[in-house]
Amino acid sequence: MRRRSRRLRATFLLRFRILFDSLLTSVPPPAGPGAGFAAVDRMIDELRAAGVSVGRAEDPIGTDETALMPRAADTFRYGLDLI
Amino acid sequence: MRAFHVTSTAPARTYYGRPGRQAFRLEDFEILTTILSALEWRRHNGPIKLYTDTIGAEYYAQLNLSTLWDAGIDTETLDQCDLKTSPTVFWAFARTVALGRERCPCVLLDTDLIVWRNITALIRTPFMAIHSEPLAFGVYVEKERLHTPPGYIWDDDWDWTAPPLNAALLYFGRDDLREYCVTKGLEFMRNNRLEEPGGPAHAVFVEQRLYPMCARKLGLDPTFFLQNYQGKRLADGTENTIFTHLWLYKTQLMHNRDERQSLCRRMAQRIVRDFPAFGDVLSTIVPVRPYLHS
Repeated sequence: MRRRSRRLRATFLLRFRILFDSLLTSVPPPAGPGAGFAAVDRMIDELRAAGVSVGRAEDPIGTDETALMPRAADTFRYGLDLI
Repeated sequence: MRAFHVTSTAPARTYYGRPGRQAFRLEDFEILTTILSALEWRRHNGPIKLYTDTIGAEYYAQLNLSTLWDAGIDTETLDQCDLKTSPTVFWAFARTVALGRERCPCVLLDTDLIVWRNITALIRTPFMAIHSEPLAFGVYVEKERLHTPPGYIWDDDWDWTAPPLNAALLYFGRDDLREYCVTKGLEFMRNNRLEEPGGPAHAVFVEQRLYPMCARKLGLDPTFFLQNYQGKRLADGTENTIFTHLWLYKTQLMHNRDERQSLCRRMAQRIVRDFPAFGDVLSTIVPVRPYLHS
């Protein structure tokens, strides 16, 4: 179980990094706008279902990459309350 | 202080999925942020100009927005641009092209960034950006991973540890720096052809990483208006009450109708409140008209 969890986590991190890079900058995620967020949510659900602990770091660029994508939409914008 | 917007229709699509080229059209939230960005700049900071191409200019004319930019609309610069690059990969290429036609002091302003006050007192160095970005972001890759034009040679004097910046608002106060950034940016993009969509690292490289490396070489490291990319505080530590930036929120707005409508209503109401005379123009713009009375 522990070995499977480690493998799942490693796979997740790789897939996550690709999606995060896509959303952060210039090209749409593979399946179109917004799909990246849903895809990561699904990955997190898969991991949790497999018993893997998925962290939610406060620092969106911290070492816990699993926390990056779900927070990205809330993080990479500012001043909306000024409108 | 003079500013300029840049809208090129050459990229086949934006990173958040809005189409370009012959299918170019703006989303409702893009129209409203463009209007707010231009009008608030004019109100608090000075004249603003638009660089676009003929397709873009014709589209803005259809929206009755041709007079939004009091310093006029330049189509010649982008129409005559012959970079032979990959516009969808280097989707911000037109900003560097337009920067080449400007004179300092000037501000390169994104259409999704709104400045709510005069920023003259915040300008303290010849090169400023809205905020820095961590070099640890995945888009900032080693130079060996960047695709270069045939025969391209990296400048050995560039410091690859220079912190990247966010280019949604750039202030240039010295023409020698502006010209150096433009020259080196165009050198990197000219004849640099990648298969689309390419890598995101290329899209932001010129403005967000090459510019600060150019600046460092000239001893002009950028300073910033905001403390960090989270945008909560100005550089002096006080609350950010000056800058609004939609940034990656645009991706979310593309697929969240409720959030889009809520934001558009607020922006339309703000335009009418701050610029009552512009309400008549808004009422003629079909995509945003519903937000005036909801």
